[in-house]
Amino acid sequence: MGTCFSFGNKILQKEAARLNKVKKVALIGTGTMGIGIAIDLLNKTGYEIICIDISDQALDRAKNEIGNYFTGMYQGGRIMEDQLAAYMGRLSYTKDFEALANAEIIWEVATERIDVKEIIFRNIEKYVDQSKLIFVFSNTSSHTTEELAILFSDSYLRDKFLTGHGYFPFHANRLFDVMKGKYASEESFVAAVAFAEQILEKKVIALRNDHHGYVADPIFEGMGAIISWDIKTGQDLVELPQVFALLTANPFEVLDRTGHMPYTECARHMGKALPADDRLRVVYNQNDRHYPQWIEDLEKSGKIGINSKDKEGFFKWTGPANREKATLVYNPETKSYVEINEINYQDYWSLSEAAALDHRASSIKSIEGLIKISEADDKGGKTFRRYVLPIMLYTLDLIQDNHCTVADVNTSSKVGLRFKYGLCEIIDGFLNHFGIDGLIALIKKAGCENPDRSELFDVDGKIGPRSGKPNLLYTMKKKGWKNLLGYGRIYGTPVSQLNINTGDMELYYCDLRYVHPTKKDRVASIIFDNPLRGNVWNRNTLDQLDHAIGVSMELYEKGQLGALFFTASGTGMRMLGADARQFNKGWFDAKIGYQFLGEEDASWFTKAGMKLFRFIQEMPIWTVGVFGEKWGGGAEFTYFLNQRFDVILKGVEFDSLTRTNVFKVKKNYNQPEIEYAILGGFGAVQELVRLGFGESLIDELFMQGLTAERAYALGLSNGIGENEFELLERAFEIARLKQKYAVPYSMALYNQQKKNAFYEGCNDDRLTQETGETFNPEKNPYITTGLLRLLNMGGQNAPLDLTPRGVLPGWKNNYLQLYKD
Amino acid sequence: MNNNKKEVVIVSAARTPIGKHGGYYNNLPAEDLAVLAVKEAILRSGIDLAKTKIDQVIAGMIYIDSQNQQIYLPRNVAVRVADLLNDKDNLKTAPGNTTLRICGTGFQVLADAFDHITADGPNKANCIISFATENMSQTNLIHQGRRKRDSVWDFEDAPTKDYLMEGFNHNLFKTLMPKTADVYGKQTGITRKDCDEFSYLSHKRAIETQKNQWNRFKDSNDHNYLMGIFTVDTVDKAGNTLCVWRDEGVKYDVNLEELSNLRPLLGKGGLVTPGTASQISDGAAAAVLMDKDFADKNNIPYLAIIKGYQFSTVDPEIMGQGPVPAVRDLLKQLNMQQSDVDLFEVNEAFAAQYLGVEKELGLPREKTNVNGGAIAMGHNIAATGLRITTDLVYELKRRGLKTGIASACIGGGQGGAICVEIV
Repeated sequence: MGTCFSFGNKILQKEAARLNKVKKVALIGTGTMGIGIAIDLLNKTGYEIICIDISDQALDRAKNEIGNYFTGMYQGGRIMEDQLAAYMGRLSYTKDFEALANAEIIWEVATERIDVKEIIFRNIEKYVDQSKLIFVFSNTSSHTTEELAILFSDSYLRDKFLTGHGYFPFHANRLFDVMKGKYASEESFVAAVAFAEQILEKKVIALRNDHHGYVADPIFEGMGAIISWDIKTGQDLVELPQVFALLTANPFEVLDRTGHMPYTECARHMGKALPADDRLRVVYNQNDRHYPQWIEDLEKSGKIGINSKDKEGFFKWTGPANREKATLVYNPETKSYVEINEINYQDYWSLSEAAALDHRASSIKSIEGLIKISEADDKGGKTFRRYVLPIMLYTLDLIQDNHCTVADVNTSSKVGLRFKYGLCEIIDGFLNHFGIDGLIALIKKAGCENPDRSELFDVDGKIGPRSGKPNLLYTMKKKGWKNLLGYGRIYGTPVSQLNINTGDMELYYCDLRYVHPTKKDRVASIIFDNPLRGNVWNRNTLDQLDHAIGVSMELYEKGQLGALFFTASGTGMRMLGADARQFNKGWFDAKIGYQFLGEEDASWFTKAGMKLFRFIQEMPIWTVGVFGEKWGGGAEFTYFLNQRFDVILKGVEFDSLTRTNVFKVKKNYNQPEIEYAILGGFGAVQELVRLGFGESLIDELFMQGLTAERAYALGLSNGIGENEFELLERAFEIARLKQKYAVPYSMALYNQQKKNAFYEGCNDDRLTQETGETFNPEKNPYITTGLLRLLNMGGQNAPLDLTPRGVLPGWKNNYLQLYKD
Repeated sequence: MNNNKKEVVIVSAARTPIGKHGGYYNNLPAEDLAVLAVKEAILRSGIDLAKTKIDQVIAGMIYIDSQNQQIYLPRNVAVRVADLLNDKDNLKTAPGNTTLRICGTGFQVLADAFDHITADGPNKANCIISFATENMSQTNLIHQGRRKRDSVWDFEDAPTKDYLMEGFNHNLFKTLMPKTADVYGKQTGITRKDCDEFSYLSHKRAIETQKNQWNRFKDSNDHNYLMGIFTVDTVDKAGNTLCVWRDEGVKYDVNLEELSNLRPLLGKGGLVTPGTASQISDGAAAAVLMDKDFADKNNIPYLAIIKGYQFSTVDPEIMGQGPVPAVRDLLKQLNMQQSDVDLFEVNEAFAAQYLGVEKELGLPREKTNVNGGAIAMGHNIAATGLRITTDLVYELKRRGLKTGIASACIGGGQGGAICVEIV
């Protein structure tokens, strides 16, 4: 959103006010990550950015790359010339740490070496103005907050120091870790999380306790490290990591893209610093080394991936920039690059079988396919058990040791490491198939198969780093917990997570943020925040929204909620339509050819969405939405809300008359279905009629879209404004005022009467028919909560009565039936 | 003072930083805080538990916290600290009791120790550990139903009540603690403006002090304030690691305008507002006390001598006046003049109350509560007496001064005061 809004959270309110006033940010270190962060900050904020580096070379490179990026944007017609100048004007480069004195946020993005960091931290301590400073971030992959915080001798700076870690490429990867550790204060933590979540628009894994490398990094590093010792020939580099390519990608290909240095530095640090009970400790400490000799050879000879001079790393890459393909592979035996051979089907038949099972053929397999592979006796099954099972056990360790929650692991693996299914979903799949005992047996079998690494497969807590700590699976068995995650009703995607401390299922929405109502405000907020595909309607979003509405109804029944506040995170608060990849695309099957999406599959999405939206429309909770740009289904969704508020957006658009790019007010409501020849999905036309639109206005909306101002003039929008923060505040205040009228049934009654009156005119007989009682207030809820009651009270509002009184007569689409199967 | 009389010395004193309600110590029960404070006091004293016998452990705590283990407090703390310090038969087996004198509990634990050490006969003690602790964040909702006659497990229906807030009512005299301050403040001619300005001063003093607060990472001599505080390095109930180094209640963005706009608690014209009252807080403090002769004989260095203590009563409806008679009586008891005292610490239960006391006693402001008081730092009720004594001792030492008096008003119409002298 670019600004920070508190959504009724009182602690955040104060910090948000400070964050919204930030003017200067200092970036220390202008390497690859530093450049990415600078670009992202320039794009998303209006901050002045001071880039500090000790080397002229690094500063020059940053100047070039950032300049190229924005020039490219200008040449591509995405920004205007004066904007380009404004972007560049907000940047300054210096070698002088004195510039820190003006910074409100300091972000250290230097190399992983602690001695370098120590010098930087001493400089921060020397020059910083504490009264201005909000927090200090360190972008480290393997150090803990505690290891770094103690480099400050000033307690105030320790209070404000957190590690904040983004993933490469920073502007594209939406995962972001914030780690508090024991020194940082609660205020700094809240501010840092809000900064990352709302201003940087990231998916934040907020860890209270220190863990080396957060959650995603140790899993990724582990994936590489666990295989690295077994690589003997070049073909091993192709074949063995296949099992990880089934989940996400070959880690060595990824390392070639990011450069080897982060991996080797982290392996070295983790080998030394990982706590004694870390399962993967052994893979960083083998043969008196932290990573194998051959990786060191590669690094020393400058073969560090795609960005090296000859485009050589674990693989040799050829092809045009950004579209390189691996053509040769490094052979550690001969220290040369060799041909990539075809993989022998006889050795890896289980992978092909899994591919056949998984009819949407791709290199990434469904959980069903993975289960098939894990049981197989070929090389595929063996490598899966040898490499993937320890990573799964490691995941369980992280949860068991309170380093992170189930949701943290799942989101980290999905968003940061691009797993198709989160690690916890995969574990759940295995638990569903094998049962807990079956999975333990599978792990023990793997332990017997791999006697050289038996400590990696320890579940009983008998050997290796995990001795004395029987695996979480045993706790689950003892307590009768079947799964780590809870799944949605419509598509069965994850919506809740197990809290292993309490045994309760808690909310876990990867694509939404749900902010619970406070006792005073009674307004809950739902923020669309899809970390992977923009804010689209896909299976996950539908499941999660459905669950969130169910949760809201429960709170409403308890009298804790009266209004729902919807908005979307991201630049321009954009809400998109249905995910075309999921719902409009077929798949290719080698045997029967291209398969179109069946009518059944396609319409199920529309039906499920419509049912949910209708429910939102008719539920007794007041709904207010604040959005910017809305496309297709995103716009349709808002027609079902009680009130819509629109941000006036400006940007570069192509003018089809003058055939030029112009900077102008953008359209907020866009329904391009007809142009794209997609059938309307969620019933926009009907809803627009209900909202009082005639045929000509509907045509206008579908053919050319509406700007916020036009929508406001037509009565579609309830309020517009240019300043996002002010509009959010205004709309939230309206939700806060409206919530008190959402006394059980009164809003439903009002909606019902309004609808009846609209279609049939006033009909007194209907009341009698539906209730059987016209004048008995005890039996007729229309009377107790309606106008008669108000008159009886002498024209004053009835006091809040939050006890539900059974089912409202005549209310067909009752949530009790819809939400309690 | 009679030379034959035994003298009591404070060998060491330590206190936790004070947490705000719902803040740092929200998940850390009072007992855990006490364990940390007692352990620190013993470590600071440098005594060897294998050689120096601990005769008694005296605990102070008022409100039952979420653990409901207050009745076992002194023994629990003794055993837990003994385990931490590998002690088998000294502290682990030391007898202990819990004492209570509302806001004066922190003084009472010192007074009890004073009495034990100066006593003659078989009950004479040489070394006593006194501590006081409170976690007001964790005070419970209580159900006031009584047991039924027919079953011991059955309770009558009754409303639940806020145990903490119930304590702020003194029902017999139909008064509230803030009301006593309002009445007393008006009696002594204190205005709302005075209260706001004093509250502002308290925060400002605390902010300045925190900027120069001692911390174990800095060698610099400028950072030598509040050496009584130790950094709490621990893990809370939720498994989160915690490092607390400063009093949480100090408001860095305090401003006079905001303070003057706050609504008075007891209607228009009242003196007590949320900004001019002490805060609801959590924290603990502990001290090791010894017979002076015993300490000298065993070559144990000490910080200060406790010259004496005094508890006096006042009208419960203006309980805030307590320090006035307590300080006067104490000076009389010790044959001293007010001018002999170098520094005062008077607990700031309410700004109106403090200002009334200041006016009646004629306390010089530059010598009183020099590092801010409970309005800024917080009033962790039971521990306050010991907290201000600890801070007073270290501040006297820092300034190279000699005599100080710590005092507090006590709900129910009492005042407590204690006099320390640096040696």
